[in-house]
Amino acid sequence: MHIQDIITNLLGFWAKQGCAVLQPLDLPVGAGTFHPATALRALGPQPWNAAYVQPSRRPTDGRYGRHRNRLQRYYQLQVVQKPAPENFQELYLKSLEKLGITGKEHDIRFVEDDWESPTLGAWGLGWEVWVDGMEVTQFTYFQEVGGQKCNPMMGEITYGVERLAMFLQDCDSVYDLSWNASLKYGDLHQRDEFQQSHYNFDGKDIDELQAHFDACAQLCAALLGHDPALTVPAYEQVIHCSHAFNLLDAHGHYSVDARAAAIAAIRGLANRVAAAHVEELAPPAAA
Amino acid sequence: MADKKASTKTAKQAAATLLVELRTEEMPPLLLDDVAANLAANLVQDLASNRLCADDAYQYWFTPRRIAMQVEAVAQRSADQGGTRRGPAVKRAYGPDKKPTQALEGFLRSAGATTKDLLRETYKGEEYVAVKRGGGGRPLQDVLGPALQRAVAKTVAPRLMSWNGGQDRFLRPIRGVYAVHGAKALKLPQVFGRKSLDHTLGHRFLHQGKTRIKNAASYAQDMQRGKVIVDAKERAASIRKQAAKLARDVIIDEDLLREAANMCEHPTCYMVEFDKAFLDLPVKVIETCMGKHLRSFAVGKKKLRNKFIFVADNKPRDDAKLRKGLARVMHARLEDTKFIYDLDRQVQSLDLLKRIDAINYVRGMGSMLDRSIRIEHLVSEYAKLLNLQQNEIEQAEGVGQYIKADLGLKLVDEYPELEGHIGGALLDRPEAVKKLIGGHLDRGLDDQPDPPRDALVLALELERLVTIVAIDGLPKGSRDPRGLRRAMGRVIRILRRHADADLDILLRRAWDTCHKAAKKHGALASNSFAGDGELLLADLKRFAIERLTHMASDLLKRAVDKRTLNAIAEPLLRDCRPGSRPLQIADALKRIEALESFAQKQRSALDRLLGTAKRLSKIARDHPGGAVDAELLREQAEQELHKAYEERVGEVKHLIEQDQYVECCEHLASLAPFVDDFFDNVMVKVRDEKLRANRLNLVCQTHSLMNELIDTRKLYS
Repeated sequence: MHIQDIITNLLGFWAKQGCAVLQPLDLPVGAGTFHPATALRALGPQPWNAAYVQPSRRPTDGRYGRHRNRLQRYYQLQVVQKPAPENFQELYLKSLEKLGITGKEHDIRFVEDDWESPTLGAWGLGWEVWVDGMEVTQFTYFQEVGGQKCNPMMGEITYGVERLAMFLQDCDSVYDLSWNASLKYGDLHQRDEFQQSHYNFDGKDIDELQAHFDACAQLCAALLGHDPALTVPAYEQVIHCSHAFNLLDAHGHYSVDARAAAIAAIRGLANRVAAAHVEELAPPAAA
Repeated sequence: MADKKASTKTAKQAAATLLVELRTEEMPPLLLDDVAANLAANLVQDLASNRLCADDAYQYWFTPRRIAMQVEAVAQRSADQGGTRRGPAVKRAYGPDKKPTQALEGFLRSAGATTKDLLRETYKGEEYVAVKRGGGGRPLQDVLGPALQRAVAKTVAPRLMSWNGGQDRFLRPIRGVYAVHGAKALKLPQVFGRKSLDHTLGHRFLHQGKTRIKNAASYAQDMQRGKVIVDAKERAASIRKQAAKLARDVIIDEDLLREAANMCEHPTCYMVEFDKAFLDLPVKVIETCMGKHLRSFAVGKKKLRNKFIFVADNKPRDDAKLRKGLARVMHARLEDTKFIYDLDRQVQSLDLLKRIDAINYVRGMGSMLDRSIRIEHLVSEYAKLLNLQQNEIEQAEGVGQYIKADLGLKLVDEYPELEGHIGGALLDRPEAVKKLIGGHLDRGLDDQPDPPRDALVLALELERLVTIVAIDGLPKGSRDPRGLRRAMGRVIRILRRHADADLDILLRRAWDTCHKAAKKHGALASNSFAGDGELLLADLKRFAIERLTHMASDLLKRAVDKRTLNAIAEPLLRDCRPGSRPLQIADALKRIEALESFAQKQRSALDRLLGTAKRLSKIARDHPGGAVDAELLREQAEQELHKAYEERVGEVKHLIEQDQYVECCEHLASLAPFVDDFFDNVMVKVRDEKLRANRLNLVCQTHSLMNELIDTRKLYS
């Protein structure tokens, strides 16, 4: 199954389960969770169902396009349902069947793996899903985002698109995966990986990045101070901070203490955004 | 009266085995054992307090997807105790709107009742609400649901998830409740926001559809039809057997086995190969990689083979895909590990020191390099204190600042559990030094004599104990996140071999070193480091004695009576006041052994000693004690007791100093006849105040001598 068919099949399946099929966020993020369709929609009482693909950047994982399965940018297919349905696990297994992965032929396991995003002030409990030992999905019940309790609880499924494809195509190198009948993953992304790794590890201006980080943090605070608070653009600044942090980290910029301090700074902003957002979502108090 | 008997009888007749199964989504394997045990105990206790069953006749099982509890002889209806439990006064129980007040709701909650159960009763002219006591006379299916919810609510775990709008909290969501009483499924109307079911589900993939059990008593057997082995021990045994059949030389790590058994409902083992080229990696690295990524067992006890054994929770008819998938995953993980390992091999040892200089140890105590320098200093002092040979001293000192250099390795970043295990292999240092560094956290080695390693481990652990305890204090209750008990345990194991080593001096050296560092790096602001350290050192010595009593049976390889341990520990603990007093671990063990031997060989002498000590203590305990004036001793018995005391006091102290503990016990026991004679012939509480005080002093000094070596109170109470 080509990558593009994996994506269409999964999105089609979840669309039938009532998920709105959305598009990726147009900002660099480390994971699909950062998309407002997950991070912000996890808050508040309103039901929410969505599915989308999110290209995700992890600068430190770059290997100059020379490693068979480590990438600095890859695709996550994200599904969120709030409240998480009773049969969320069963639905997930059905979605795998759409890809031809069944419990008759494979060892499918939910292996404890609690999730935490220290920058987002978020955590949840869940599993990584193994298919014949390969981790293809992260499955999480959100407990908190931005320090706010998630009630009702949102369920999140994150498929690793490349992992699934390597498994389905019986392929040992990510670059040999077929995107469609004529294109390989390597045709699309190997050059990116090489150049981006160079840029991420060696090529950037640290001072400029640090200045960018500071400017975004300031802007975020300013947007929150606006009356009424502009939480959506403020949240985007949190994302900018987080990405600048990832780049600085890839360059080995942080000592242990400085790293912890930067994470705490981003979390502080995320917490303020979440608190303001929850306030926005609350039904007006009865007179 | 006759009525009550009859009703108890009916209740008994209807008693049958109860089975309750909570079906959940996959629970964390390492928490399962404890959580299931507590859940079962709490549920049974709750049912027992509702007079439905005994509180000790039950068993329980667990798999990742279910916890089942089987309770014997559970009544259908709780025995009617008669009598009522009174709640708030009626006028306080209902608000002006006739709705229940908080007071009433609280009462109902605590009584486990609803408004339907309420009665009225008059007490001292006031009308009160009340319920039948203990929920007596209520049917099992009414009691069970709330009891289950209460038991689940008591679950303790590092992280619990809440669902159902935050009402319920457990390891993972509970998706089904199945309760069977005898052969009948119970209908619980409302439990965890749902109705109970008349069935359960079998294995996720090996069984289709609903599963029912014939009888609550046959649950474990009946679930086999649903392809679920509910007994974790049985699953572990099955894994062990299958693995041994696949490869006789499989390496079974017991922790990993327990985890693997808690990750499946019906294990099937597969043996798969990997590329021989990876066998170049150190064995420990390969084992860690396998255990971490696929919870797999390595194969090859003498020499590692290029195979691993994976525990699946499924058995596909055609397992070619499964095998291929496993091989691919292991290959990718080993490849990644080797990539990191090769990178690490190119790093110069000196560069590793630079890297660990960037890693914080504890706030205010500098970097890991600073810590390594402290340890280097302590190793050198300890090597001398432990009387190492010159060549051994040189070997220990050769480790230098490299002891924690492995923290600079990328491999240790990736697998933190490798810290202290493989670092040596990647350093450009002499072979002996590499060996010392490589295994410094291998606790299995602590029991083997290796003087340079002993000095090293003592330096590491005592530096850490002093630092952490100074900043955060000693571990409390069952919590010990920093593993301080384990650290002290290692210290004790090692000091046992060094009879002359004085823990007091070792701790003082560690304190001096750490205190200087705290001054330099800023931790001095914390209270304990700001003090003179005497209190802290006294605490640490007490901590060591507590640990020692805890470990004594293990160290002596036989069960040591707890009272014996306490009797020896008490005088030692008394001696842990601030100030410099020696504490020798080997000596403390010797005392324990001596008391054991004395108790065994001269039981009657010990009993007599305890008898007299008890008599003395009754009088001595309320008296401060003082010097005895020999002039005032009039009766022969008291003169003789005093003489016996004078003859022995020096000798007892001398024998203790000479470590002659059995002889010392004998000496103390020989005081007994004099004490008995004294009590038989001398009146202590006489009118004459001077006389009385003097006799009390005599009793006190005798008593205190008798408790010099052992605390007799711990033995006779």
